[in-house]
Amino acid sequence: MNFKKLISLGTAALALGLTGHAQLPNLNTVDQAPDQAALIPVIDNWRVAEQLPHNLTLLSLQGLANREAPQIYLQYPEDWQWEIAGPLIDFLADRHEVDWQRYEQGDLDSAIRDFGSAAKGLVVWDKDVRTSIIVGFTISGIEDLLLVNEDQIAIAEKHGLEVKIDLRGQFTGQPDHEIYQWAYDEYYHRSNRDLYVVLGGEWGAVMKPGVADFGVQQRAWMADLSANPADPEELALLNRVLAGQNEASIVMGWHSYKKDTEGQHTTLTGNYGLKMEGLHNLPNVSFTSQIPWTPDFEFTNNHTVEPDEEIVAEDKVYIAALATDSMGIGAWTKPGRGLIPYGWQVLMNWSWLNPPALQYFQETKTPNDYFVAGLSGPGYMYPKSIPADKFPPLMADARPLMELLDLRIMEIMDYSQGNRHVGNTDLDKRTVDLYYQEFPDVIGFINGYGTARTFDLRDDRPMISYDYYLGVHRPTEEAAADLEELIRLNPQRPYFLLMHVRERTTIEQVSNILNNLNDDVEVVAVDKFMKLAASNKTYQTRYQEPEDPIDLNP
Amino acid sequence: MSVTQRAFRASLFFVALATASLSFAHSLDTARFIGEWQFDRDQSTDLSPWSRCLLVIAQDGDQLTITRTLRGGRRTHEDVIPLDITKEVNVVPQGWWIDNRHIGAYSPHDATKVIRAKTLDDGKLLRLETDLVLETQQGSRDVNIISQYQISPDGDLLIVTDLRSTRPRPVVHVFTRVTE
Repeated sequence: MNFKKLISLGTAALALGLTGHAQLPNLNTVDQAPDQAALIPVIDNWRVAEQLPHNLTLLSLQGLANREAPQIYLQYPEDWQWEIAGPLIDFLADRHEVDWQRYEQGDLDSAIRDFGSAAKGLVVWDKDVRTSIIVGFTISGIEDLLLVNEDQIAIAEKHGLEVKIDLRGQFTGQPDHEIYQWAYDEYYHRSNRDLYVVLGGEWGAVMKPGVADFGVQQRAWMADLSANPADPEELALLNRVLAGQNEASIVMGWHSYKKDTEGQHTTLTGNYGLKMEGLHNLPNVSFTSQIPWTPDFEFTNNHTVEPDEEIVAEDKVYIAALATDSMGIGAWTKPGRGLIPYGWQVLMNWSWLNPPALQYFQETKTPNDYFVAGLSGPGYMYPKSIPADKFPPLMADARPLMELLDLRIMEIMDYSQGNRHVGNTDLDKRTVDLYYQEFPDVIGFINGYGTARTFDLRDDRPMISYDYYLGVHRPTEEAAADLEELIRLNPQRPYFLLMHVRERTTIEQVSNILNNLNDDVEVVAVDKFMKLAASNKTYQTRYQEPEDPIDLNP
Repeated sequence: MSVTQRAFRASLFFVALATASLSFAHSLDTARFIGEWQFDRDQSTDLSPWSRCLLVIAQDGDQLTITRTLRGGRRTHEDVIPLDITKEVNVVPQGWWIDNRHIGAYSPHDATKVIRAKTLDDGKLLRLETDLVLETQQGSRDVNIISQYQISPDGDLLIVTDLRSTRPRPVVHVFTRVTE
């Protein structure tokens, strides 16, 4: 690999390579975005028995074709969970000068005609066995075969593609753990040790495997195995899969909404020191991972204070609002951004998974938008689930990413002992000690997703948990009353109220809520909030205590 | 004060105490309250993160139990208030403070709450006054809650209104009687 290609890979990957620890998938990269690329619309119908087959074939085709170069970008509906997918089309055209070659929706024939040569044949999934789709994606990537069902064989054969592997009837009546055991025995040893793809999310009649193209491109082993102890066979196999992956490698996708929970799955990946990256429906990674930042681009944050600056809090209430769950599925493009200081948690691995998106966020940010690192480390992780010996090297992967992306605050979230409803999302002292030790250059830490009660201050660097969680459906008047109640419950001044906003809530709504508060409140940027909190510690130091209740629920 | 006067005053005290103790037990029209009540989301203050609640009021001898089973997605939580109706003041375990999971306020370890009960309106209205302690980032805070359980004239609605000393708005939860 020559030096220029190393630069094209992204400084993040270079930096990670220097740490000698991170195991990234082997990405093909280009020096610049292609002059032309195919823009193919998916059909906005993800039902297995209806239009999903069309989209599955497109995803398989995309993954195969994009091995050689970034050739296919799929166009998703406007209401796709990853709202960034649409704006990126214009951004790639305007900023990267990609000339989109637009295909008609539903025209699989033309797509296969133009890109089918990337496949060596066909793998046929069984219309009666949903899980055969996921196994089919694995085979598609490893055997270089286009994924089709029996209704699509003819159109593919027209373009010279013959059936090489036929899964019809092979898995009839079998439970998922048996199907995946076969796929494991046949293909795991040939698959990518740096990437395991979880095609979970929606289940039953619907599937939205937007990330499958990346799995195909990378020859990943794919499944939706359960991390739920109620599914012992699937859990046992999942443990074998995760144990077989390279240290600190990537688990990409999302757990099945039917089989297990986010907390169960992410806890398990953390037990192996692996980095979770969501979601199952993240689109076009096989394309975006190849596109570097433009030569004139540098990631800079809207810092409102200098790292060594000292400011003094006044006797008032300070509020900082922040949205997690990625800017790509949140309110970035919704009304109100820029009205108030607002924090955004950055998916740091998008520095190599989706550089154009990070550049898009950077170049469309307002002066009131501030970025923080997360989530818990170099990927989505629960620190309490990570084995002690794996924690320092993992956090060593996070530090260069934070430096690259100009991030000075680390956000931590831990659902390994339940969720925000009645679980315990606090950090014990050991974990807090580790964060302070591993991140000597941050100006502060955030903890929680819902509210939590871990607080500390060391060397003028606070650790502040969320005191308020704004749910999507919370009415404005009730949310304002919640905040007023919190303010009354915390009468000492200054009071530092860190607020977590569920990603779909618009900043306009948040601004409306905050405007309903009394005038003793000041909304500040997250970095200023940290500095103010360091100046006057009215919050009591607290860590998770052994007597604290833990309700995994479920 | 003479012995006789002291005895008279003592007897007055015990009469008052007995009367107070009897006021809750014998004046509550328990038949109106006993049963299962389903949360009416449209008529109520937002209950999030919970979306459903089943309120069960049951009586076993001198024990009146108010149980809320809250559900949100796959998550459930049960909150139980046991009341000895012969007592005007009950001291009960606090457990999780479940009434607002959006805000950073928590029950102390092994906490208890003091509940004073009274009835009004010929037993059709039950009023609980609860004193408890919540912990926040700044320490412990005393909180007083007045909870009014009121049955509608037709007996089909139970309206629970909470006035919390720390909250500027009342919380009103409406329940409809679950009929078989």
